[in-house]
Amino acid sequence: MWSFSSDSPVRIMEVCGTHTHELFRTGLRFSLPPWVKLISGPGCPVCVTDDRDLAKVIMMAREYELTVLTFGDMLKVNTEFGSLASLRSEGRKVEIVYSPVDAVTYAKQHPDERCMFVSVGFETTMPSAAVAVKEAIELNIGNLFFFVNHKLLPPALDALLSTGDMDIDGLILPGHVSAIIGRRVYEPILLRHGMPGVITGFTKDHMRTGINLLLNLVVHHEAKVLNAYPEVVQEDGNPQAKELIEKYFEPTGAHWRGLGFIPNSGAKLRPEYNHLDAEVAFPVSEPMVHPPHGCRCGDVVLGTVDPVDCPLFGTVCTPQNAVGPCMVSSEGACAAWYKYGGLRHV
Amino acid sequence: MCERILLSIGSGGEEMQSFLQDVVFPAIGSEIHGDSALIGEVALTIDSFVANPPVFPGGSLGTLAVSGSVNDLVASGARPTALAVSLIVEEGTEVELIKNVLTDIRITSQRCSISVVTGDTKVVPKGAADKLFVTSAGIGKRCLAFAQPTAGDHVITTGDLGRHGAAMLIANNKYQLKTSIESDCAPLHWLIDVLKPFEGHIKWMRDPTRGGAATVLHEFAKEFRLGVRVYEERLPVQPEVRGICELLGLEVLHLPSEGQMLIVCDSAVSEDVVESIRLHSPDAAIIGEVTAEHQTVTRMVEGAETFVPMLTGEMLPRIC
Amino acid sequence: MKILEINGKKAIAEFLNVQREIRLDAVPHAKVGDHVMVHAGLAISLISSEEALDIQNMWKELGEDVELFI
Ligand code: SF4
Repeated sequence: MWSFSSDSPVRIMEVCGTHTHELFRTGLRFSLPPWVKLISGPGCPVCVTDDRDLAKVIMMAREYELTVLTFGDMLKVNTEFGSLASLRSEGRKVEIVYSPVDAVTYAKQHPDERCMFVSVGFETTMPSAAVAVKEAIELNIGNLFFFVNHKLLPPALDALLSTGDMDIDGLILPGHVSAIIGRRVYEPILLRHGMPGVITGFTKDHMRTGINLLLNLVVHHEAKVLNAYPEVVQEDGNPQAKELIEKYFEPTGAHWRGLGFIPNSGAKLRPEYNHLDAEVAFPVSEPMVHPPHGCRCGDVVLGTVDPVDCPLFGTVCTPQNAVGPCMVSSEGACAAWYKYGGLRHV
Repeated sequence: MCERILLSIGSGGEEMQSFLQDVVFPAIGSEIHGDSALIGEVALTIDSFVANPPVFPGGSLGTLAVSGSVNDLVASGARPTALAVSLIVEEGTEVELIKNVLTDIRITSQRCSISVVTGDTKVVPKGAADKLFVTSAGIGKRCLAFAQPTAGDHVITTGDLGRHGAAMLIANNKYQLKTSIESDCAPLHWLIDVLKPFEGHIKWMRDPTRGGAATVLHEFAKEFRLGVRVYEERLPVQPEVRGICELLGLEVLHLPSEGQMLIVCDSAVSEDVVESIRLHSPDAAIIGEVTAEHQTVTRMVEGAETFVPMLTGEMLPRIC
Repeated sequence: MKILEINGKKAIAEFLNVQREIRLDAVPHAKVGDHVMVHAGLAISLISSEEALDIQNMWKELGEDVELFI
């Protein structure tokens, strides 16, 4: 009925960086049958953040002497303008937060600092960022500004599947993003491309179930979108979370590393909240940046090359001396391959 | 290499290794390995301690300073004999804090029957230090020789792993987590006497402080060109420590312990060694074995073997 | 994480004896004792144990010749 082999394998993409990481960490990756090839996708928010956006953050912080608050993985991504870690070594304050709401607390406790929260991430982090904006308004915090650089998954998937040379047979869809946006939104996109997908959780058992379901869909040529994480993901996601997102953010075009510019694939603050928008408060000229020389992150997030196919992988580029963001971010495919790769199931 | 020192260099992971290789060793003109040195029969160690906050559940900079130096000496097979302590105090620091830290130094050193024989104090202007930095140097007398490790040897921990790191993450409240764990920070002066009867079968030991168990096991693998395989289900880890790791996306083997030792010994005696250690530390366990297959650290989880990465960068929570 | 106490939009939740303040803005119906999926300090979903059974149904729906590959 089906004829896949290790020469012409089933190619399934784990869209989300956390899946990439967990598939390695739990060893599940190595228990897959030889006719299944996993391809890492664009679901690592740090990896797809365009250099020019990060460069802007660094320029703004330098020029306006801002305290930068953000999530941990952003710290080490290098641009021609330096990284947030190097910014900190120059004496600027860079604080890592667990939750965007913690940025509000920090700003409140440090009234003499001008703070900028760098808000990145997919739909998963957006409601939490929205709550932070809400809180900043309610508490009338005057010294916190938001650099909003969120990315939306469905338009990116659509763009990804539309690039002709993708050659993917199925998608492992991210559980946490789906908790917000639900299952149904994927349907028109995936079905248009005849692509099966399974929403999958992150434990070893969840991933095993999700991948088994997906492989069944693939071998039976059934383009369906299944939800293998129903205890967390609802048909239409979380309406209250979506409301929060819509109240504070609106879609905008966004630059993606690898995918380029995709209309309506990002989110920015609504104009009503301009007074909290860091880009409005601290204008800088558009930085000219070039992607790191030789780095193939763009192709890695597209899944067209494996990290090991990058000539810099493991030699010039290692986690402690990362060339591209895919090696910096703990969810990045290059980092996962470098840290865990190469070992067989025993 | 950057022109300025990045915080990640201090995390004890790979960045620290390259910093030593690229900057420190060439500049000082020699390679320094291990946490303490043997000069004839005398072992010498020195370590600086910073902690935010300086007093935390389970200890303080004082407990840390004594335990750290004692454990470094023990790791080299030496019985600690004396300590020297020096303080760098920031202008404006409460005297109460200094008293508390010094009291902990006294109590901890009494616990292992050694004395602080000399010391020094400097005060620096506000902002030039963060409250209090403590440096302690220790000397000891060598009394345990190590045999050559080989594939098949067992890896033992004297107790549960990662607790100090987890306790500090809670104590500095950066991520606003709450739980009731205390740092494991304690001197292991008793370990020498426990291991002495097994001399000849003990191959290596190291206290898994900065960079956690993963880092010291990687150092072992590199030094002896052997591999280490640890078994996830055998790792003694307190539930709270697991909880913190899960919530923040951290690797438990990267979290420092300040009162444990990892020991490599002959598999023939490993059970007996563990038995003897348990009289002092009930959570002691055999956690893995030395292999010849690859010169790295791996972990078995439910029948699958994966790499245990070394810590890279600062230990930071992940966003997804 | 399991919700231990609720204070308006805020709550204390616990996982393996570790507690943290979380926000409930996106799960207004959450009650003490409920399990929630927390992301970046915000509960994004109520975890219902019954729904896990849906997976069983999904298997059935896929027909007779379902295979387990891993
Ligand atoms: S290995 Fe490094 S240089 Fe190559 S694609 Fe990955 S991040 Fe870029």
